[in-house]
Amino acid sequence: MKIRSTGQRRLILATIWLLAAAATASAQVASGLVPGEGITVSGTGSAAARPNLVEVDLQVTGKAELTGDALVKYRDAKKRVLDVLAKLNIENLSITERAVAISIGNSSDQQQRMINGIVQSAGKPEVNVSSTVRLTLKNVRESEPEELIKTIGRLLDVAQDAGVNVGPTAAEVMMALRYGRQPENAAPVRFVLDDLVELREKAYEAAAADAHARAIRLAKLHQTTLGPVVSIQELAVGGDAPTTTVVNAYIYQQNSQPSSLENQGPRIVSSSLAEIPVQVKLIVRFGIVAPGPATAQK
Amino acid sequence: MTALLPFCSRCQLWANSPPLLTRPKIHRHAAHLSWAGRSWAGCALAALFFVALVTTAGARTASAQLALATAVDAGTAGGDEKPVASFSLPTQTSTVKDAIEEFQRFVEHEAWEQAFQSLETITSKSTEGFVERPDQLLVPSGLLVRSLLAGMPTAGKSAYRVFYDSEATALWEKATGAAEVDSLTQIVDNHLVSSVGDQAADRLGDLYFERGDLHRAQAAWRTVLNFCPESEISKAQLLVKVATALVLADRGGELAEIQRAIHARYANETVVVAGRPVKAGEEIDRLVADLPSAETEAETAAFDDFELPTSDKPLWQFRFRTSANPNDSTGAAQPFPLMNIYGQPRTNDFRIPVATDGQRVYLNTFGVEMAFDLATGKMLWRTGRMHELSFQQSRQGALPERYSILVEGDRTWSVTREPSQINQQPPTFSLVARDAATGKELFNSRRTMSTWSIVGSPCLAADPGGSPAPVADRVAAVAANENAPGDKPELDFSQGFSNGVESLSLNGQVAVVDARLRLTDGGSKQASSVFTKKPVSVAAFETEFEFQFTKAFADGILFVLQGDGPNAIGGWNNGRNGISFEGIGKSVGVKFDIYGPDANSTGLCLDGVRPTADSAISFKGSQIDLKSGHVFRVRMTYDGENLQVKITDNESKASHTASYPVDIANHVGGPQAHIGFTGSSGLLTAVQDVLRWTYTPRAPRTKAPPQTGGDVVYVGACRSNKSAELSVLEIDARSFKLKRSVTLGTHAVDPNQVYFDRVSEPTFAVHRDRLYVDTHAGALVALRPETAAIEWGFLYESPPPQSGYPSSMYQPPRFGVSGPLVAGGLLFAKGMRSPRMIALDLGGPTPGWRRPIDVTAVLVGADDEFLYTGGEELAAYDLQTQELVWSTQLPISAGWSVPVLTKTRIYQFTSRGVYQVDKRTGQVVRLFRGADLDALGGSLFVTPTALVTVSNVAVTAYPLDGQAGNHDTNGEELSAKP
Repeated sequence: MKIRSTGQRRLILATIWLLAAAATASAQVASGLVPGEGITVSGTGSAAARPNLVEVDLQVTGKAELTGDALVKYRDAKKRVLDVLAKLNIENLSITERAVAISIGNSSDQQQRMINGIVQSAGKPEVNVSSTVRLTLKNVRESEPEELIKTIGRLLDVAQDAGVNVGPTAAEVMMALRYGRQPENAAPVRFVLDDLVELREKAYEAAAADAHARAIRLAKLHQTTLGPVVSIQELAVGGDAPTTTVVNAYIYQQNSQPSSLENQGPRIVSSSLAEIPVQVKLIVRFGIVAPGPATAQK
Repeated sequence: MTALLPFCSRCQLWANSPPLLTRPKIHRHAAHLSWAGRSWAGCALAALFFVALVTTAGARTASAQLALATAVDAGTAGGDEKPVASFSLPTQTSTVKDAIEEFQRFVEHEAWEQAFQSLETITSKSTEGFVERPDQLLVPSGLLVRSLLAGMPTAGKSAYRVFYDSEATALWEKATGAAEVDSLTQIVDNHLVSSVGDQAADRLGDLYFERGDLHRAQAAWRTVLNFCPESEISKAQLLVKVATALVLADRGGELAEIQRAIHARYANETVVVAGRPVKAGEEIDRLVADLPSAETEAETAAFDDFELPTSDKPLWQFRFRTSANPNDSTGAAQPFPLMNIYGQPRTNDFRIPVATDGQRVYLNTFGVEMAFDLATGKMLWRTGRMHELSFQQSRQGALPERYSILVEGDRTWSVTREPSQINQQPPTFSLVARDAATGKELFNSRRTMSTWSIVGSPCLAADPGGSPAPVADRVAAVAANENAPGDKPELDFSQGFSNGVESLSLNGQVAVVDARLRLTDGGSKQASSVFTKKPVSVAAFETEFEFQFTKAFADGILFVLQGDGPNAIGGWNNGRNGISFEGIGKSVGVKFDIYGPDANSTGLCLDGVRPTADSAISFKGSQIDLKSGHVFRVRMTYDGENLQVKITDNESKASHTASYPVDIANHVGGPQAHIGFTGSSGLLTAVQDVLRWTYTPRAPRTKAPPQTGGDVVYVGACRSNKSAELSVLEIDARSFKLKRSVTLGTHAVDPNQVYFDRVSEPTFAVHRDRLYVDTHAGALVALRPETAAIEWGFLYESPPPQSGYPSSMYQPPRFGVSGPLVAGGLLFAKGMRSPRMIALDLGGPTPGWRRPIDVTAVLVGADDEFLYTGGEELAAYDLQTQELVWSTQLPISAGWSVPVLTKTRIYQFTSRGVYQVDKRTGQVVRLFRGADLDALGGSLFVTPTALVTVSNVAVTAYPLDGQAGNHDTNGEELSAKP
């Protein structure tokens, strides 16, 4: 059959939808559920553990009007920080360089002049060569907190001694405030939990149990009989972080590191050294069983 | 297509002529026609100048000029537009500019009469004001006229002589007697290309030379070399004359160029020197060889490295402010909470103005000046109360950058305003001279030159032609000069006298017994002396020796430095106990006396005479008894001013210290002397032995940087009713009289309207016979100090300061202030707001570099290979290729902090401590944390015994590990620590 018009298409779709609905309703009736009725609850569960990783992000940059100069500055800045870190001889420390970026934009001086309507200087846009050197301390869960903090302190100290900015500068914070955005690298030290499999399992179980308990409570309060689970929705799962990238062409994209490029597995990040909860939040819908002896709630 | 057409910037039109065939001369505004942004007329001018320059015997070769021209283009990274400066130099009227254009046009047409008429238009106008050369160098129109004439073709010069030779010849004939100089000057100024022009310039040089005006003499001879290429006067002779004048004028550092020129072309040409014929090459070599070693180029001087302290514990520390909170018992140091006039913070680029003369540290903190004893940290004087200081610095609009201080000899010079002036608008600053010892005000420009407000740091120079350094450089110079210790003793008898005694002259009864020098052996009427056969440096030294007296009754011994000779020996008696010293005329000695009314005493003995018994220093009360038979250890240190003597009884450990202010060189007849011991027994007896002895010369404590003259003070200023106009004042440093003022030009933004940003303040450099002024607003100016004439100006990119209230600010304005710097024959400058570093070849002058650089960069110094910059990062640039070689980002939060350069290291005081950086690689060799980590960093300098840092929180001195190198407690040399 050849469908000839939009009206015909709509008619066919409506027919399919009605048939499907009728089939669902008949299924519910067949199982003793009240068609279209149900109890929807949320269930939350969590399991906690100390972080197993510590990450410190250092921004290595070379900025100059001439690209050659920017490259020399970047080269030397990176070499200097890598050299001093290597001399620390920390066993569980790994160093990775991430996402080298070359961007061109107005210098911060020029931006400020521009914003204030002041005559521009003769300087041309700056080339910014940058990357993030990520320091990762692995297997830190069993480390003594004081020792761990000391180790992190050493990393920060040598990095700053090497001329690296750890965290945003005051000017960067002001600039971010001015444009209503998050400053780059606002939390350079992160405590990370990325061995989540077992914890998640526990959290899921707890969330499901929580949802079931809530549903029973509601059913009892409303003198109905709770049926089986009709649908489940994950509302939040610890470790699945949303990714966002802010791009503003007007602003000098300093150290722009789109997090979507990082392609990391499930992980939870905290800015403090404490047990990190892995939380799972579910929305669960239970059916309501039609009154009758066969379907009385146990 | 249009890119190939000449464009007229005045008409804003492309010339409607066939591309590439169009001759700019047919366009009315010929001077404005350009090919791809370059002026056609400018190219013609450039060619004329090029002709003039390549004929300069003392200048670089043509290939070098071409290389420089290429470098300019390369340095602009793709071709910069004309620089936008925020400062204007006085330029000539459009009439003059048009006349120059017409001249060039007529020359091309070989219309000589009209061409010369155009020149008359120029010369009839004021000779003041500048004309811009195509290379953006601004030169006085008079000099330009001379260059235009010199650049004419031969036919033009012949025509000129037809028109003007009679006038020039008449002047030449008049040039006798009292009118000689005036007539010759007129010829040189107006008719240099006439048939007598070169002779007039040569003769004028001779006259100046005979009068002792060496600067003008060499300038006149150079005129012939530069502008009269066809002259028949021997170039070799002229070059030798110039070289001779430079040597006599203490400008021997400039001979290298002349030596190269002579050897390249005229080495075998015969010249006449003092009536005798000699080869030009031999004569210039002789002149160069006879130069004293000190007469090398200042920029090649390098100072010795020094090791950073090994302990963070300070020797002393003075904190400007402690916590204002009465409940805060920690006494934590509080930084100066600087704000601009809108209450916005501006602390991140503040450096306390500091100066040192090696004895004291002088600070100018917001108009409250103070001095500290460098050795003890004791505050010696201050000009205001500390609460005034707190008030000054905490109010809005404190203008910290406008204060400065330097010290020269016995005076400090500061730019300051008194606390009572704090509310005065517009802010007026004055130049103040004080007695360095007491702080007493000797001069205040506010009282005698009230129409001037001072801007920028002062600069001291000899009159004229000295080589002063701005304040920051002086700190570095002191640091380096004072820390040049020798590592090994020059005399080392630390194991006794069994070896090496042949270097000593043993006089009288002295003998070596059991590795001891026995001055008297127990006999009576004995007199002995021991002196080094060769004189050694006594400018500053350390010496240590041990002696022992046994069976001792008389007389004692002296440690002696003397200029009479290695065999000098005094009498044993001379009617008293002469200790074999009395009679050695040119001498300084320290006695250890065991006989007479001043027995068991010490004291300073001068010129062969011992102090009287009354003035001797008795050991009574110090538990030292020279006759005890104990071994005594004596340690003496002399820093060029004070002789410190410490004697210790090795057995009882009792000790005694004495200090004598003495100018040893003055008493011994020079910086070198024979050193040793004298001893006698008189009519009694004693066995007097010297057991061990070491002697190590040291670098003397620097009173002031040696390169400074200090006869005149140059300082920037503006009149109270013309605040946008910048002038340079020349003030007699002794009489405090204003010798002259020179108006440089005008700021685009009236500094009085600058509330938020920094005011542009000039910095100076004196090199050879020129005073160079960087206005830090887009203009670099060269002045002749002896005439106050502006020789040339050069405009560079510099945005104006931000005036008015910024509606949105997320960082304070960024900039870096440093003085011009001469290195490798180039004059470097970097305006405080400029994103460009420029350099001019002083041989021309011609532009050399125009290179992008971080706006915060400051010029620090140079060596043979690299130019070093500071600011928010340290960096090194290759002097040949202009490339960035390395860059080191340090946590330099004090943007005005000036690094100190030594032979192989750079030292920088930052918020995280003092960094020691390798000059070749930029690698951090060592980081010394210190005890001032609350601070933002700042200045540092070094004395023979201490490292001193000055931050926005405190002045802190750290002990260096003695002068015998940097040793740890085990006596092992410390290696560079990462």
